[in-house]
Amino acid sequence: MSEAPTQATNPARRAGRMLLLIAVAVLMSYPLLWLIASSFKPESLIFSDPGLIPAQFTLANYLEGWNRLGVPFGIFMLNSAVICVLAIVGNLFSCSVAAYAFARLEFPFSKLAFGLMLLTLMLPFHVTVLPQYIVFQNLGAVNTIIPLVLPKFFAVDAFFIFLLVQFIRGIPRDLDQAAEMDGCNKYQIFWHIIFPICRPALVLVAIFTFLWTWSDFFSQLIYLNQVEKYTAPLALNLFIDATSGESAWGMLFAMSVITLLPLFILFVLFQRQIAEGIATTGLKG
Amino acid sequence: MTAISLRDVRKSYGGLEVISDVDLDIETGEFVVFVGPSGCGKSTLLRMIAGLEGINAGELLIDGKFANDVPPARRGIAMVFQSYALYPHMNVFENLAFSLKIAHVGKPEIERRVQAAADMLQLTPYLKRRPRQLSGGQRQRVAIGRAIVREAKVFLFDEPLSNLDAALRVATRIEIARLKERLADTTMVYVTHDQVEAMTLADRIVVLNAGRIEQVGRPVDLYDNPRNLFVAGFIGSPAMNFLPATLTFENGSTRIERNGKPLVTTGFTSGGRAGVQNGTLGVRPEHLDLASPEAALFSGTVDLVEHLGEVTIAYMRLDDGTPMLAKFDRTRELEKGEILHLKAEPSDLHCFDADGMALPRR
Ligand SMILES: Nc1ncnc2c1ncn2[C@@H]1O[C@H](COP(=O)(O)OP(=O)(O)OP(=O)(O)O)[C@@H](O)[C@H]1O
Ligand SMILES: [Mg+2]
Repeated sequence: MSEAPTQATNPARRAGRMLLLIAVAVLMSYPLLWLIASSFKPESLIFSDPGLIPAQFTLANYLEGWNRLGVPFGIFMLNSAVICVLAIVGNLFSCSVAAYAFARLEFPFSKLAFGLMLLTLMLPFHVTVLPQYIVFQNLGAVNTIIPLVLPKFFAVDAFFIFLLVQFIRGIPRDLDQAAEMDGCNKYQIFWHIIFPICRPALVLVAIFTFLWTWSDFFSQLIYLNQVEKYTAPLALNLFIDATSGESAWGMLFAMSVITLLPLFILFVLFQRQIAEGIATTGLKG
Repeated sequence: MTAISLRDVRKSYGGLEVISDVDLDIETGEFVVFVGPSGCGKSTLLRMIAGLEGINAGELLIDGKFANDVPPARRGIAMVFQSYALYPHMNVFENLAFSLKIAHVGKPEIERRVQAAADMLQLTPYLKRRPRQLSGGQRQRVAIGRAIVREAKVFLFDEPLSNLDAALRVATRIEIARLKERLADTTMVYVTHDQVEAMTLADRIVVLNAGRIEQVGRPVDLYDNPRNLFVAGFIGSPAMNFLPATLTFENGSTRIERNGKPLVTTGFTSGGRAGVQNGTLGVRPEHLDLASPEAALFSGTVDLVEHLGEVTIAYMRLDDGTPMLAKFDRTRELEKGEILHLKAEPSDLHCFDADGMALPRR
């Protein structure tokens, strides 16, 4: 870090660095740019003219793709959004409460419980899928969004809990004690003091929950089996017809762009908070 | 009336006793200062009064009522933390109002009390600011304001000025002295490292050492009549000079000899002691004065001279190698290597027995 200023003052080196960064950025985003470009090409040109600038510009993929599946694509987006919102609310609430308990309260076997929780981080998701499915089947909750959102209200994302525990440990205990002197019980300390101070970490939790839930395909595929209940990723899958091999690529790309739009908007809007969150939570190595 | 009584109070952390046998009565409206070396248990004792630390044994009475198990908020006690502990996500108004909001006090009453506290502490222009937009002194005042707003009967301060720079510390100390006048019925307990704060603010000083009370008394009493070596060395700055001396107790009085030479003093009684002991003679740097060689009690060579503006401090080594400090007016020109002959009024001498306890004067 200490030599950064001298590098910055050297124009040649600076230009070189700039070029390198731009090259990497283009390389990284090329697939995305290609996807966007292709979504505006007529179906026939997508693979025959694979350049980034469309020879022929059309909105047909968007207009047709929107209604192609019998249900407007907006419904799938809405389904996804509902699941995301509930998952975010669930995670914000449950993970922060759990983290507060681990970081601040003394209860029997708290260390052991914390260790076990961290162990679940190493448990592959696929190990738990089957037993979980059987449980939800017995509860009659398959083909509803319950299996997708209910667990989020019970602090199942160990990573977020860990993140928040670390953050809460960094909050001076004097604040808890000042609040205690001011008449707060543990719940009030959590709600009035700890929870609001955790905001940068909570923004991260919300954004990552959104990212992971929005682009989650596997568990949504397992639990939802009616087209009207499908989420955006499941709907996109319908455009690929594996048996006949006649996939509607143009429409798939167009709807993919639409599906990506919320993520993009989110990043633009919350860029600053995300950076702040990553900096203050020590997420960056 | 007694606001707070500690009866034989103890506290240990996993076998290590950090507060032992503390017995103390604090009167209503009194300003009591806890002093003592780092780690002696000042903060712990304060936090036990606040209710933030449990009490292992003994009794805490608040207004005469047993209060060991009363939760902090119900004790009628407010605390000002060393770190200020302002809520970073609330502005000054919200910080001040928070305890009242939790207590479901009505909006107009909250407004009134916060405004009154803000006026008293000149915080009105900053009510809309967040703590991080305030200077150290302003944060300190908000922390005090939080205590005022609660209209608590007892204020506890844990080294409230230690994070401020020297000038601000003096200014805030004077504010606290004013606050003490305005809130004459409020009992205040104050922890500090700073001699000047302790001497100027305290009605009574409690000197703590390793979890025990060494002495309790008015500042001047501690200064004039320290009960033992520890208090003698702790109160006063620069610290009292200690010189080894041989004490002979005879017929209820004490004879003092240094290096075989008898010293003339206004009599110390033996306090029931007998025989000969290796004791300590104490004299404060500010009580030493130049004397002729014949009249001198002590003679030594100047090692180092410090000019502090209004006073000059001479670091000396006596003939027998004992270090000694003397404090003079700045009019005195001193030089390194100079030999000084010093005397002190007999009434300014202190004498301690082999156990470090002060000998009573006649
Ligand atoms: N939570 C704790 N667990 C174990 N020991 C503790 C704890 N809190 C304090 N102590 C110990 O108790 C003793 C007294 O601590 P305390 O903080 O009261 O000292 P202090 O007089 O306030 O010191 P300072 O002037 O440095 O603030 C110290 O030896 C400290 O190590
Ligand atoms: Mg302390």
